[in-house]
Amino acid sequence: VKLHLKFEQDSDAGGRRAVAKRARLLGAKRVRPMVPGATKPAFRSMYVVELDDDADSSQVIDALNAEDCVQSVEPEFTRGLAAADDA
Amino acid sequence: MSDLPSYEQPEKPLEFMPGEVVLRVEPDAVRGHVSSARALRFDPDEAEALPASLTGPLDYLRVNAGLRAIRPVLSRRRAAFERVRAGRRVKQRLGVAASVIDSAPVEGLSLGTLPARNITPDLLKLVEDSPAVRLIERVPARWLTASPATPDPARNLQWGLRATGWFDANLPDMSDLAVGILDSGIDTTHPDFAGLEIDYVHDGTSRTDVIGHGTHVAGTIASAVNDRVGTAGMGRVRLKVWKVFPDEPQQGTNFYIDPERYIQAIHAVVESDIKVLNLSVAGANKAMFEQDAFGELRKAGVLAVAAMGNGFRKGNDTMYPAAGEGVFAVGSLAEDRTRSDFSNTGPHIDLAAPGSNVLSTHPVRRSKYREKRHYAVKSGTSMATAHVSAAAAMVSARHPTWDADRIAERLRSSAEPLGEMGGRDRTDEHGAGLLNLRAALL
Repeated sequence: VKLHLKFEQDSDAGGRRAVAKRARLLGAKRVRPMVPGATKPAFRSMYVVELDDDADSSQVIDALNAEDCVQSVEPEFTRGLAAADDA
Repeated sequence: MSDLPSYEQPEKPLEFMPGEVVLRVEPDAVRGHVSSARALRFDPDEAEALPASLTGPLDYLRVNAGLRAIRPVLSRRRAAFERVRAGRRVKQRLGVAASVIDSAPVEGLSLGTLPARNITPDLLKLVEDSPAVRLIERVPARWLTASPATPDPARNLQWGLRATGWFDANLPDMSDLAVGILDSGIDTTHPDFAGLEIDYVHDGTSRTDVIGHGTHVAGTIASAVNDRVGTAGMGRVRLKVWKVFPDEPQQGTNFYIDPERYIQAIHAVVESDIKVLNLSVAGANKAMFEQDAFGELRKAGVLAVAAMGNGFRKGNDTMYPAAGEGVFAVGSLAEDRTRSDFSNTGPHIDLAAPGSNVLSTHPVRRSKYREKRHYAVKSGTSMATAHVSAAAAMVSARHPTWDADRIAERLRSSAEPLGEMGGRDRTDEHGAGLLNLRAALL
């Protein structure tokens, strides 16, 4: 299971490290940037939280959303193709 | 050099077929001289029975002009004549006889073959002076009057081109423009993409477009025009394609976007020179990441064009990214210019475009996840979106200083009202109406 974590764009590295630590305590295997090497602040503040299989994702979402430097935490979204079958 | 026939009219066409003459004799010069008026036996005696007024010109042609053969082209006995074993003198006379006996509807007509250089006006006049000869003349040359092979043989099947006014539109040069496509990939080896500048990113996955969806979308936008191959794309534009789908389905046969590749690709689009981004994808849940990423696209001046979704009969959910802020949302029309029965509706729809039964390119190589190769017909708001993305690129090429909002407004304001709209300027089913390329590019 993966979550999408968005930090406030003006949050500092210390605050982000604290959130990542909190996530690991709640059952995250890894917290990593969504777009490695991103140049734009909006993309630099996007992270992926990889959860252990037995982690409670709702609890993690609630807990991280309560952190000051977190803008949002959401489950991974899904998008599919917008074409019907071949005629 | 190709051995294929040319349908072009020759630069210097032949006036006459080399070495061929038409000979028409008087039927009475044959009838009454051969033993049977109904059925030739092709006997040498029959050849000898013909009058000198007929045999004289034939012999002159053979001896002095090198007449090689006489073919009674309208004779019912032609096959039997061809089997006759006899010298030229006898066989040529029997050929003329056969052109009268058992021939219809034109009696006495045959073709003669002789060296072209020997066919002179004097020779023809001399032969024609015989009372047994009605006419002798060179065979006029004729050629096929089919037009040259069509520039794109299948483009007459692309109803979307006609419906959007593509054939009549004043199409701009888009060669300096880049359109981005986030999709299932692209088969860059497809012959209809020959010469097209394609930047293809498929990091972490195979190069293959296993589904074919992205190749289809790319073909609608930019398959080569006037290349005598397959379909015509709407315009020649540089393509930057990101494969954001995996090589295997995640749920049954359903493929879902890899969200990380998707967001990474949007970041790359923001960093690029892309003016229009085609998003023939949809999903029901709103996502902050996606919204934020699209906010960056808007700041970068990129017009994001997205599909309304195909779930009208399955709840007609609001789909993203189409419903996101600043995204240009496209619904689908069928050939009769009514809303495609699958096409989602909603207040965020901007425009409708051809989406049912759209013919376009498909990967050449086989894949277990699709049946068709080379070309395929697909239906979906995906296909409609591709038409609009290409149109947006054209408007941008025509008006290089216009920003994304102005391009979007031009597409809406130039749309063609549809009968289903009942005279309204816009509806949740069709947006502002049908994409009208001709008007958008005025």
